[in-house]
Amino acid sequence: MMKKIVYLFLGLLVATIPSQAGERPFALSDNVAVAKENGRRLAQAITHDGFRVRESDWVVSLKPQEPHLLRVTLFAGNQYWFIAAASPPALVLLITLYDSTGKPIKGDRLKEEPAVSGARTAVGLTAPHSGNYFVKLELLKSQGKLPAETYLAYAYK
Amino acid sequence: MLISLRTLSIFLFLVQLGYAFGSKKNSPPSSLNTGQMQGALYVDALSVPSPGEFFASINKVSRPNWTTLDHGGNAPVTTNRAQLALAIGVFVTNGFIAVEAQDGQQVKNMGRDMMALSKALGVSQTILSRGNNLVDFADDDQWDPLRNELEATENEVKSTMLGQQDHYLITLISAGSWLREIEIASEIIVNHYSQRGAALLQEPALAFHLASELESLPEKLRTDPLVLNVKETLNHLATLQKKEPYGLTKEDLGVLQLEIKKIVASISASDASPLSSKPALPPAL
Repeated sequence: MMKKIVYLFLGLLVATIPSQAGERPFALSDNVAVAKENGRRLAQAITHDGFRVRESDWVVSLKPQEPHLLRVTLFAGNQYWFIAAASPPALVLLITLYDSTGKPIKGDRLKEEPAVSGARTAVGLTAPHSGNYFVKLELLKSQGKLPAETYLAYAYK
Repeated sequence: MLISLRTLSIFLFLVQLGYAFGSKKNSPPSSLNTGQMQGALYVDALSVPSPGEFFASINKVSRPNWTTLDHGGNAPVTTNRAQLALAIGVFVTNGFIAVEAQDGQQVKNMGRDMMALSKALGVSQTILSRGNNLVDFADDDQWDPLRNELEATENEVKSTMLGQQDHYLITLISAGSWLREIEIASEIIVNHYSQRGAALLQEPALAFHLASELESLPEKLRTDPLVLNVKETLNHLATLQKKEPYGLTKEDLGVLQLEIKKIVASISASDASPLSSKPALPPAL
């Protein structure tokens, strides 16, 4: 019985260790280009709906489980889509929106899972009032511990 | 067999359970605490809204006649770098106003002025092609590409400034642009007042932030009388907006508009102009 418990414990331990397979160095500039390209393609899908994608964007080197929190200034009545895309080794990206008091906002999620390398996601909302909002960008899942170049932009209408 | 089928099932169940509880994707996000909010990054490219966004919001509440609004004058002739940077911000917003008015000639004039201002700051070479694009899009009445091109031009000026170690001028561009946006938005809302319209302007955090960034400029710029006036105006704007969280009254908005109009006129005034003598601050509301 004791032996089985030890095996079970070891099994669980192995299951929680992130896979190192596929972890290899990527050229930084290539990865930025991949992240931007992924993000812009996703943004193009949104602009068909009358949204204007801002020319300004932000690229950050995102590590797994080390989220970045950003302030944005939104206007009442405008609809927004926040778009993020990352190059490999990123697998799952998450954007969470918060209001000016820090309360999470349940935004709309884009149901689009394209077959591209890396990860991308988008969250939409209609701003109920003008003011300060917060955008949390995090890399939930990655192949290994290497940071992923991540692009963030937004569209409005 | 070392591990029975039952043990294996229990093991797989526990692994699944571990993933279900360990996955952040499935758990609802918790609220941010004060420390997290205070530590949130401020990135000029995304934290400062574009004039197009602000005007899109105003168009939903009020139907302003953009053609009758003041589109701004000519670029100032000055050697004051702070004023030149502030003026670039004002002229970017003027470009967006001209696009809303669908006034191609005004867009071209504004593009020409932006080139002149950028040249005076030593960043014109990189944005010459942008100026040509502005003219082409204006000639073809392509208003959406014009909005993108205006923002791209502003971005290019800012990124060139970063490369030239002039990063502190970036805040001045953003401050000039925001003041001009508030001036024109106040004018629109005062003329067709509604509390819903006044609430659109409620962005005290942005005004406070821009004012605090001006505080960290190098001393020569920080103590420039025009920069001091801009900072005081931004602080005044933010304080008023904080005081009236549901939107400024028509009277307050009118007085504020006049105050900002004066400062925008000072930014746009040439060295020889009486306006460039840097007016004292008007009394608080």
